Amino acid sequence: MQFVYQPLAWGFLLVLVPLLIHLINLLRHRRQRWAAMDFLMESYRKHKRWVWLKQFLLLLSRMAMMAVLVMLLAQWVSGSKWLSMFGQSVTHHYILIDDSLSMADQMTTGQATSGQIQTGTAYQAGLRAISNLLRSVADDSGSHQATIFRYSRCEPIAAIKNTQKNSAGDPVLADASATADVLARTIPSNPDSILERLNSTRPFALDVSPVKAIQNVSELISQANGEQAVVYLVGDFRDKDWRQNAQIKSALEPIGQKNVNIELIDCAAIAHENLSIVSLVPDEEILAASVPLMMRVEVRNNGQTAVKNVNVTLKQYEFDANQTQPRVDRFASGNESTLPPLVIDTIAPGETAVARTQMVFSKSGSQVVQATINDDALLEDNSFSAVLEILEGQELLVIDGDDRRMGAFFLEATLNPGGMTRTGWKTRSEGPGFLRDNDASVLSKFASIVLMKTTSLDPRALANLENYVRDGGGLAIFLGGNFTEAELPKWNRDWYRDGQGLSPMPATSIVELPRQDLDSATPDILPLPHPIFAPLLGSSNSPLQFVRVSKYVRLDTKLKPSDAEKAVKSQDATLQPASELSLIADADTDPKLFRSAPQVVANLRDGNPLIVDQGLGKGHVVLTTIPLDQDWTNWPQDPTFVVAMLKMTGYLASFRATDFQQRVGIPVSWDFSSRDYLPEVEAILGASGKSFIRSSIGLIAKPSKEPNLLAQVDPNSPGFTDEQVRAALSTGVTEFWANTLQGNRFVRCFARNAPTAEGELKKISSADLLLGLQGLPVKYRIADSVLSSSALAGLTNRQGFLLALLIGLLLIEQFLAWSASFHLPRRATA
Amino acid sequence: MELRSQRIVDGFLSGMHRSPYFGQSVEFVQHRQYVPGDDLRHIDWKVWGRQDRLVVKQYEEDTNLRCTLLVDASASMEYGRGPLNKFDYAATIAASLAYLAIRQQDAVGLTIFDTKVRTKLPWRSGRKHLQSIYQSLEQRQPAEKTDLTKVFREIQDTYPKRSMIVLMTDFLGADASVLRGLAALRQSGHDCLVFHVMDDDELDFPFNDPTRFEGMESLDALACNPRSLREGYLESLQKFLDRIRHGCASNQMEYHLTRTSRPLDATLTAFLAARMAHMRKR
Repeated sequence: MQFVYQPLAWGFLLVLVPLLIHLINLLRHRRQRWAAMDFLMESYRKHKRWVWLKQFLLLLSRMAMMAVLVMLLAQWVSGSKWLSMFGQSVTHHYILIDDSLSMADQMTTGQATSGQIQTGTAYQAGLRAISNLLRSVADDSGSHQATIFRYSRCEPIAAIKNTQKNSAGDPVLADASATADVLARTIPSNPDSILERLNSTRPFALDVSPVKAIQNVSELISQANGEQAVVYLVGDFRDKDWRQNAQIKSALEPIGQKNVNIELIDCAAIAHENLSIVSLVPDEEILAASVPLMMRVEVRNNGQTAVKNVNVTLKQYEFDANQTQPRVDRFASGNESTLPPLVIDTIAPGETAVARTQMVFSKSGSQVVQATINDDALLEDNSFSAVLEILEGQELLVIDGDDRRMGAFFLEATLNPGGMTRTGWKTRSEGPGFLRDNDASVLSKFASIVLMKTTSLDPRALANLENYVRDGGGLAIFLGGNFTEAELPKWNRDWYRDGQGLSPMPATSIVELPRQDLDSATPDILPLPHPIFAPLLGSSNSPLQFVRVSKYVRLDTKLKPSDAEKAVKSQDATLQPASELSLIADADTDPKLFRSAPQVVANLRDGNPLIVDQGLGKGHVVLTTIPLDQDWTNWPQDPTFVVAMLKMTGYLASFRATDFQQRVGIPVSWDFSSRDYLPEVEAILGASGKSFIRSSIGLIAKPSKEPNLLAQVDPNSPGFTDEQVRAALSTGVTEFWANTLQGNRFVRCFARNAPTAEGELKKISSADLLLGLQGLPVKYRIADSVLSSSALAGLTNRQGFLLALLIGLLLIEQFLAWSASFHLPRRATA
Repeated sequence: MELRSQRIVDGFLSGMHRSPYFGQSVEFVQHRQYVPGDDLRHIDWKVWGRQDRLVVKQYEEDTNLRCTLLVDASASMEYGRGPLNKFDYAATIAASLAYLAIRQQDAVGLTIFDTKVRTKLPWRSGRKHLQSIYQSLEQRQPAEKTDLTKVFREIQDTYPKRSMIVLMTDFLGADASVLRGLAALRQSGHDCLVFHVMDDDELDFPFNDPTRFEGMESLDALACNPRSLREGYLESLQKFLDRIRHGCASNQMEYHLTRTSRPLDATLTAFLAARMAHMRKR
């Protein structure tokens, strides 16, 4: 038997007090000489047994009262299972701990049991709270079980449940408890033994919702019989997660309907200022060796005050042929070079600032760029990396419908100027028949395709072209040239296909644009904000003022609103998974079916579109309503043409590039040809935080689409150890090192970054939190108070029982005392 | 004792009374069925001759009263938490009655007893005799047990002539035979009156604290919580009182249960009033 105040257990000696008083009373009887002894003795003989029995029971009840009183004061915390007879048989504690990135917030509070102030992350505060909680539960009476989940652990199993179905088509229920980190049927007095594995965990660089974990627990509770459940949500309760919490609330409702108490344990008492790098991407242009590119860094201020003079350090890690071995002690194995730092003057609260710098990679291959800012509360989002697949040069296919192949002259001259100037492009000019004779696999070698004076194509060629675009290719169409109005209906039928074809808009007519003076203030071409014209915007005098357009193909801009709306929605639905972390790919969304709303890139002076851009599948189509023909325009002779064409081709080629900023949690896959590389691959995983000792995993690439092989680092792989899972879910660069069939080493890199939303550390107030969960049996408390309050809660139940027992004994004592006539009659007391 | 008795009696006696006893006189009152022991001289032979049944003649006696005062001085009579214990109370009643009787020229005899007769004064009247009665009552200290049966037998022998016997006792320690002794006295022609003197404590048993009761006439002792036994005690006591009262009533004796807390004049007044009523009824 144990007590909170063990020394008070000596108070059990007070049990002897009633006995002592009884004995003393026997000694201190008043002596009374009495005449009528006969009647007294007769009464005594008649009631002797009852009197003794009542006095004995009275004595026992008084001794029991003293014992219970001492137990109450000493706070009895240990007991056998017999107490459970008075209440529930088993109490199951379901503890869900948030291990998303925001839990890595560096806290400086945290009252340990020893009374010392402890430092650490919010996650560590949560682990301490769980330890304290289990400790108090272990000290509590009754039978207790504990099941602990991390939010991230519940995600894969939930996905399996969603996708797996039996032969009857019903979903196959996986064992939700299989995802538990701790499954304790009994809780030892020192719970650290069962928490050893959990205590070694750290928050992942993930943005994980508690919904799946709650649904798991809800299912477990519904399957369990005869147990009283308590659900604890241990997390940091950020505003972004809990302000609009309809999903969470609906997940909690089945639990609340079962009268299960829900306790919210807040591990992050305060919200810290935090800067996050949210993006590191090259501008939409060609990535080629020795061709300068602009890298764009975006830094968001997630705090409440403006931040000045933010230093952004950029490093590039270049791989070359001499490097044959991975370096596990560095961020990336390439040759490191540091660029001059970028300084952002001011970032207002909640705003994102952009900084650009020019970079040149002299070698082709996977090249790594890393941007870092100074450390703050959340370390993981202070570093951001991108992997650029730099090529020696990219091939541009020009389909020239001109019999003399002169339609693409200006474009080829622009992209291949000759001499020392490198644009990174290698142009190849072919006739329309090339598209008919080569399918998408051949076309996929070209970074982008430009159609010149090509108005009529074989249906097969059109299909190949459409597949090329939907697979991520960029297509530029220059209308006009040998184009007559009589051909427009057929062109619309083949290319627009009522909004289902390659053309963003249908063509209506060929229109003359009236000439005007060179001094006129309005140039013929009016560019709009778009990457193609980005370098030409912003000046007071338009660089395009000398460009003349004589005639153009007018497009029908009256797009049906419903179509546009559908397109926008489709865009939102498709873009969402790419921008946010999702461990599970959404199988219902096929990016190849995507079609965005047409975007006008530049208008003509009369308001009709000159250039229109539309996303189609993974690629884009840019439709220009003029050919590069002197009869139509003098633009090819204008210097702005070179800029615009380089940007356009770069822009169209950028959609085939790797996603530079994929988030942690998405499996890292390298699909390569078995004709080039051996299947044995060494994967060097990223390293979280300050640690630069990276894990290495030997992989055997699995057969993929013939003749390809797939090497994959999937955090959900069953064979992965905890450390490997941790490494697979870390930010940084994952390198796949392989050998070519000729015996050369080859490396392919992939970058994984922290989810940007996790950098928003703004807290939701407890009042708003509880208001949002109104109607549910929810209690809120901070992690530091878990020990005292939960101990108190346990004690409350126990003490309540003891108090009830004491009151019961008191009533019994009073009844016995009354029955034994120890109470003075009213007449006597008066 | 003297002062107390005189003060109690003075003021409410008129001085004259009719003798409550039947004796030899010239004025015939009635016939009564002969019972063995009656004086044969009183048998009316004429009636026997005419009716063949034995009756005795009774006459109104206008003679001095012979009053015999029997005072219990056993140890139990010493009990009392008020100003007077039971013996004092009984002795004062006895003295008062003696004073009353002697003042009316009646003869008074006194017997103080416990297990046996300790003091015995013959019937006499006169101031000197009264002083002797006072002296005897004052000098006697309660002691020993009670043996009423033995005392009654001795009284019967000592006072053969019929008289008014006034018994003052608590009857504690008396067994069932005491009622037979009283019946015998009554059958001897004595007019018996009983003052059953009890203390308030004995009738109410008001004890609350743990108490060790020690017997006054026995070696019994009992340590107990009095409240737990009170009910049983009062039940037993009530049975005892009922038995005594019933025994007296069946033997045509006047019975007065007297609390020592009751004022003595009230007790005497009640007694005399009852007595006069009884006389008128006869």
